[in-house]
Amino acid sequence: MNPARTLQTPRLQLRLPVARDLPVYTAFATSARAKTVGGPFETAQAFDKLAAMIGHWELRGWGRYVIELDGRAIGHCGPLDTFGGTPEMTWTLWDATAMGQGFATEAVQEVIRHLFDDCGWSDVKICIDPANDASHRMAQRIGAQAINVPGPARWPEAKTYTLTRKAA
Amino acid sequence: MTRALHTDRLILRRPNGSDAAATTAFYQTERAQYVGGNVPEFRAFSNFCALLGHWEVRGYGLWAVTTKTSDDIIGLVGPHHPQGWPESEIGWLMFDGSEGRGYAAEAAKAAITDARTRLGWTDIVHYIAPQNARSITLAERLGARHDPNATVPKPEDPCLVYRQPVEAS
Repeated sequence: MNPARTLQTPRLQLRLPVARDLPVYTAFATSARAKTVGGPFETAQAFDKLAAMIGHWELRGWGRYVIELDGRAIGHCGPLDTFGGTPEMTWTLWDATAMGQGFATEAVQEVIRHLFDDCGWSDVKICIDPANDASHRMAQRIGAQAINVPGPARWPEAKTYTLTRKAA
Repeated sequence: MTRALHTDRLILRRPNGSDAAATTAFYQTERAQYVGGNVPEFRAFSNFCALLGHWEVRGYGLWAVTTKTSDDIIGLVGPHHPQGWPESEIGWLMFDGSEGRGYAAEAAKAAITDARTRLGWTDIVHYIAPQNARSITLAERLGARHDPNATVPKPEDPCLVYRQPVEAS
């Protein structure tokens, strides 16, 4: 099946990115916290990045979900494929106050379960800033294996992991 | 459903997945260097994703331009206004092989008229790289004049701002 447009976890709702996410996403993307994902970005770049998340869904039929907690957007997670090859699983919490409570893990594990079990995907890769300790710990927690290959073209210095259906 | 615009020779419609290959190829060419291109494939693809998303976020965006004889995209022309940009732009990018026939001017005139009448735009500018002589010529042909006092979207990489007269169409 094609990936669902909404997913649910015990505490979170996952849905497609939309125009009303722009203020919250922009606040994150232009802040110092965006350093681990190649930022901080200019306001117009933040617009382009959210717009690209939306357009990716239109082109691929799947993409990154916005993570909602009690109706409030706190981050995004989901697969990304900018030019073919193994899709990349991504996650980012926009809201610093939402960190440290397992929300990213809960959301990512549900997306991975859905892609592997419901949609038949075999593997994803994960690319993480070398200094982003929290994300490295999370990658290991969800069963990803570090592999010794360069990051993607847009981000060669990233550390790369692979996550396969049987390891997840 | 967004309507399409029709000119004598062209149709301007909302871009979709069928335009991805041609647009992504264009953004990777050197000719695209003044319009956010001459970039690697992943960036070209992201540019096109963002262009589609602009339509979702704003309700309008660059139109895919086709001739009336084929649905193949030959360029992108239309209103463009990312958050943070000082003014509302009508932009254009014509793909290889579609230049020199007046298509960009024909499409831009239709897009300007539509932006004025349907979107209610009064102030319309064209942001043009200083080295992009063909686009400067086109902006002048469309009746725009260089505005040296306008604010530019990227002060660290300033472009020229060509402004349409407020009453013209």
